[in-house]
Amino acid sequence: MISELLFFMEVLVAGLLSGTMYSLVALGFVLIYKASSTFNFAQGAMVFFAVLSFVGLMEFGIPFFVAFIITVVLMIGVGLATERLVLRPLMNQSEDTLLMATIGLGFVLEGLAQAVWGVEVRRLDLGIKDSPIPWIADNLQLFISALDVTAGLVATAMIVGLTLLFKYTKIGLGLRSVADDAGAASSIGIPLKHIMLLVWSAAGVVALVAGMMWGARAGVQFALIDLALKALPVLIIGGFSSIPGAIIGGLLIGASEKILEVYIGPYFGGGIEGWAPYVLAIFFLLYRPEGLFGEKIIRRV
Amino acid sequence: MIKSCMRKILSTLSVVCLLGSTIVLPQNSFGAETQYFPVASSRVGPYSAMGTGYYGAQIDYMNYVNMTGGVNGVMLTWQECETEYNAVKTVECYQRLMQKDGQKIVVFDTLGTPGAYAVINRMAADNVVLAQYGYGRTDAADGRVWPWVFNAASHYWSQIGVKLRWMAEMEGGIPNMKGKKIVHLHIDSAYGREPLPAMRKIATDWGFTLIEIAIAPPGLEQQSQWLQIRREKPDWVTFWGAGSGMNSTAMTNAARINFPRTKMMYVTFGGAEEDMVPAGDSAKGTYVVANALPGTDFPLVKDIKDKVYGAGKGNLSDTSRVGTVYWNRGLGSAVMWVEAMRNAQKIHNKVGKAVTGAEFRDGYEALNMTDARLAEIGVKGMVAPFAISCANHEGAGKFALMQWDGKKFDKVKDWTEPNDPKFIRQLIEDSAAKFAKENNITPKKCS
Amino acid sequence: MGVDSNNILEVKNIEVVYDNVILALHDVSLVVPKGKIVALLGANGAGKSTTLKSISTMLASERGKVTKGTINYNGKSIDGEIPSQMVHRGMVQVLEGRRCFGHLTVEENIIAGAYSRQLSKGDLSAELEKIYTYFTRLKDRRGSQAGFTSGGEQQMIAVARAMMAKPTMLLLDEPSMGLAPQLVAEIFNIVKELNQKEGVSILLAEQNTNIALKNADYGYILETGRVMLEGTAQSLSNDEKVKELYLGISKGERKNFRDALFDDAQKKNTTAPSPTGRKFKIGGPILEVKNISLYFGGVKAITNISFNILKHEIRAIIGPNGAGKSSMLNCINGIYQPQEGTIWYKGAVLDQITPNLISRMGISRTFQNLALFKRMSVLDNILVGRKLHTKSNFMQVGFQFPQAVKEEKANRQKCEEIISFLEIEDIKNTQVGKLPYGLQKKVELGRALATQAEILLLDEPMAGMNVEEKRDMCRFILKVNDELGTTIVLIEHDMGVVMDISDRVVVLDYGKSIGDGTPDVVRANPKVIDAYLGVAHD
Repeated sequence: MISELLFFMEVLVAGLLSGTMYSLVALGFVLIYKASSTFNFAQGAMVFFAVLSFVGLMEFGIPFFVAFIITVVLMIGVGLATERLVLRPLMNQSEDTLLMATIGLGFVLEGLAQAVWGVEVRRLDLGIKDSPIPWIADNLQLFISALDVTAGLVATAMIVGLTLLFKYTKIGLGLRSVADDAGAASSIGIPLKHIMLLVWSAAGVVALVAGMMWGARAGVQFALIDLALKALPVLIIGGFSSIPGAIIGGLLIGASEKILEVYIGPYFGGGIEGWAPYVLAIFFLLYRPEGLFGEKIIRRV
Repeated sequence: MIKSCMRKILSTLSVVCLLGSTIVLPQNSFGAETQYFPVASSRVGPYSAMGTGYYGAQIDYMNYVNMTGGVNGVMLTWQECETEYNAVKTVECYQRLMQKDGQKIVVFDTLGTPGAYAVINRMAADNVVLAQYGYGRTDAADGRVWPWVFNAASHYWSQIGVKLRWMAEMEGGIPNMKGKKIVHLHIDSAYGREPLPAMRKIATDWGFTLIEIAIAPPGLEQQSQWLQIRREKPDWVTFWGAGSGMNSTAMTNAARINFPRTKMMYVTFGGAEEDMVPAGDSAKGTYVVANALPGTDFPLVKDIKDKVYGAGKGNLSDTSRVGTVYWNRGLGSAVMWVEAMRNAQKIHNKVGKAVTGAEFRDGYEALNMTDARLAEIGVKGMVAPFAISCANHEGAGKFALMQWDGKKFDKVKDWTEPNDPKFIRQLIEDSAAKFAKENNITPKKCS
Repeated sequence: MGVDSNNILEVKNIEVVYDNVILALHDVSLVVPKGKIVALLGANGAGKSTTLKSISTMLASERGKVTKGTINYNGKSIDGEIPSQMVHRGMVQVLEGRRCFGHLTVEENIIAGAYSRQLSKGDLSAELEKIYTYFTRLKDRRGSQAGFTSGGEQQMIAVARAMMAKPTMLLLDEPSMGLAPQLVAEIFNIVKELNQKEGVSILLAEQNTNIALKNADYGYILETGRVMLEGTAQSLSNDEKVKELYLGISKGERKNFRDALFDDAQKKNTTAPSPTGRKFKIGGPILEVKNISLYFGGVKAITNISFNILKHEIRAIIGPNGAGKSSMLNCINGIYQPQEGTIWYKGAVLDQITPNLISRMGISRTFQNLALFKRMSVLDNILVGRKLHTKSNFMQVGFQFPQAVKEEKANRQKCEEIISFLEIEDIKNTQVGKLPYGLQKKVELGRALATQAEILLLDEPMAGMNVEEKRDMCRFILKVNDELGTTIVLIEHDMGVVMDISDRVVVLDYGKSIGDGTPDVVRANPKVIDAYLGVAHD
């Protein structure tokens, strides 16, 4: 018999670890939101497109790292095309228009990915086992998979990297300026199109990494797109424009949905994981609409 | 110079004319009779692996029939519509596919329980057969209440009955099932809960504990479910998922808690190569039941590969998928369409002519797939031999057991029926009678 | 015309169109000589910002386009340039409303200004230190978040940020807006210093004619997209017309104005208030403001103000930008709760009131920036004003109860009356968003009238209008007052015609009342002249 406390710990740890996976996906949304103030509905499709292209290239016998580089370049190409064909013509349109455009972009990427690479579910082997790390399992009685730990480390590394980039580089300053007031930023000579290109490319790379983690765990497949929508409650809780918010929000969602599912789920016939995070998000919208780390709306009368 | 130009234009024109003629002249312009079939496929989205294989096989087989002289000379035509395994879109497709060149559909196949439920009540009025090949509404097996609906190739209640029988056998008999624990891990939908009425009943009869755990789609996250399973320490898990994401994730998660895959039994719609491969090594040892066995050695499969794919007319871009679980299942369904049509022609004296929905229904109900007939068609052993009657629309009610060895499925047990088929049948009749009463349907007399 | 190498900027006969339809500038020409400060003056909506944005090429981002004329900067056309290119060419615009990056620190804001330059770390900090010598106030606050600094500091941040791009020319858009006079003076001192020490040429758009002319070398006055007047700062300050229209020193008198309007109207065959005057005699106080003070954080917006409003009178509250006029109005209609003092209405103290409650009590208001439903028709907009007088609930309306139907009919009747009263029958079914600004203002007046309020609070009803539109609006304000007897309180920042239609005027400056009385009395008040002209009256 596993003791109740240990079981609770296990649920919590599992939740936190899958939370980091949500964070990875949410990160891409945050990047775009910072630059364009819009929720990028195409992010899920970008995840799918990126990782499917990556696996597809590997199937041609291209080595791992080469395929990775090619996919990164491809995602930068997607960013470039998005900037040129979607963002630039829609400049100065309302954010709603941009939102609609991202939905359209999502469909294009979904379709393109399936047309080029086919619809079969593919297996992605990163060489990291998705089975319990023996030492931890033996000594702590906790079953934690190596892949989860890797995902956690990768997510942390990306978050630290992006935070440093934003905080301490010139391009980061430019991006934060654009996020704050694009008009003012352009008035002092910050070239919006470069910033947009950069951000969309970065979001593409983040999408690739997120897709690789998820793909390794659950197979590279269409359902990854739906999964990306889990990022929405994560963002509402963490704050749409905050990188640390994305990770905290992810951890919170991951942990709470698992705990709710295990302890409260049975009373609802189970499967509450699907909607419990959104209920949580609604509470946040009611009591703290800017999220935990979101930027408070500064308004002077 | 001018000459070569002219020649170029002429040759282009002739190519255009040629193209035009193939487009303008469909098969029936040669005077041949045609029969139209709808293909409500689901080739994109999370359930695409299932849809491409299943509907691909249907089209491959229809092509094959046409290449080998049609159904007594009647050529088959078809039209596709994408449902994305979505009930609303299935209804849309049903309406869109209803007619082609003035000919009405005679059969409809949604390959999805939600889609089947969405159209099931229109069948009688529209004179269309709903052919649920091993899915859909279970109590439709009672032909007296559901004359237009068939679930030939066996329904979910027989399936769960067969699974429990095997478990009992492996545990050393039904008495040994007492005190055992079985987790039914299912997608949180009507399909996932479909076997529960039968399962709950058997659980009380045999004395095992049934624990129901639901997964919210798309089910790439099953940590909490598997942690619960780890706590419960069940003896068996019956898995009832949909979409290869959910299906493969269940196995990887089982691996993470070291739950033996040899104690997991997969549903027909979760147990195909496309569901196993993404899970890699974690899938090894998993049991799956089949209503149509995979394999490329069946003569018909070989023949289609030669004739259809050899002529470059194959529907699947990846030829290696011919002979897989979903493809063979699709082939099984198409074989039944054609056989039903043949029967209809014979019964109604319309050999060499197209049939109507009502005639097709009669042909379907007259299906009698003996081993001899199956051998003639070239699929002996791929499906269980069966016959359909006025009252019994289920067919064989048998399943075969397979185990994934990491690369392919091995058949571990041949066609088997539940321990007590009469008991399952009683459940069906009770449920159908209840439905008939609620909806003021007078069951048809069968004698 | 050759290019004069002494001019850094030459704008010739430009026309600007927004959204392909709205003509914002008709014909504007101006030059900025090297190293000079040139002021661009005029009321709200006269085209000042549009002119600046045409020059900085920021117009494209607002769907505007220069359709005629040429702009040369530094001897070269700016055709086909984008804002970042203009910054490279040495021209930086400080946008209206400061537009700091609120979430960035003060220093990050300033550093962002150097984005277009390739500076080493050392050079950057040297530049930064140099900028801080001009903006000493900002140096102390370098680490604070810009969004939480004061308005004056934000304006400084915006200028400092622009200076980091090392411009040869600055375009300043309304740097004085909403700031206290001491701060305005401080900012203008810095601007002047930058102009002299750094040799930056400056084109300055300002509503505050007084401070602008004090600091500029040359000025242009815009009205509805045209240059109406130009000249040296000195000559403009002394111009009679400027004095009257922009410095608010008018010689007009109410009865003459009324006669003039009547003559106008007869010529145009419309109705006008009759010269013989009003149907309702001015009565006793209906609303009294007693010793109220209002603070935002530590900033005093209103200090100890008292005045009263008499029944049926037209009462104006005037004062320069940022004097506290809108705050005053917001106190009266319950948007703000003053920390000190009381407001009496019909003999009772207004306490714990909300805008909703106030409108039920018979006080209605219009807004400085139009608050209309742009996609609805004129009639529908005015019908919204009747909502207060609708007693049936939505269920009754939904099910078309007889009572609801009757009420609906009465409401429509009333609105038709208002529409005919305002002489806008021809546009009653037009979508409001498609109407010109002047007419929209009229619709807003109509909606306020529909509430059948006893007191109408009009927030800058004539802002952004040309002289003709202003006269038209005056006519209707007088008509409402004469024929319906509605008490009217109106806010204006330029004295112009307001002095002519008001019975009494209260003048605010820095949140204090500096004069109260009939227009004649106020006009003769030395403090008032000082506030508006910046020079002692002698």
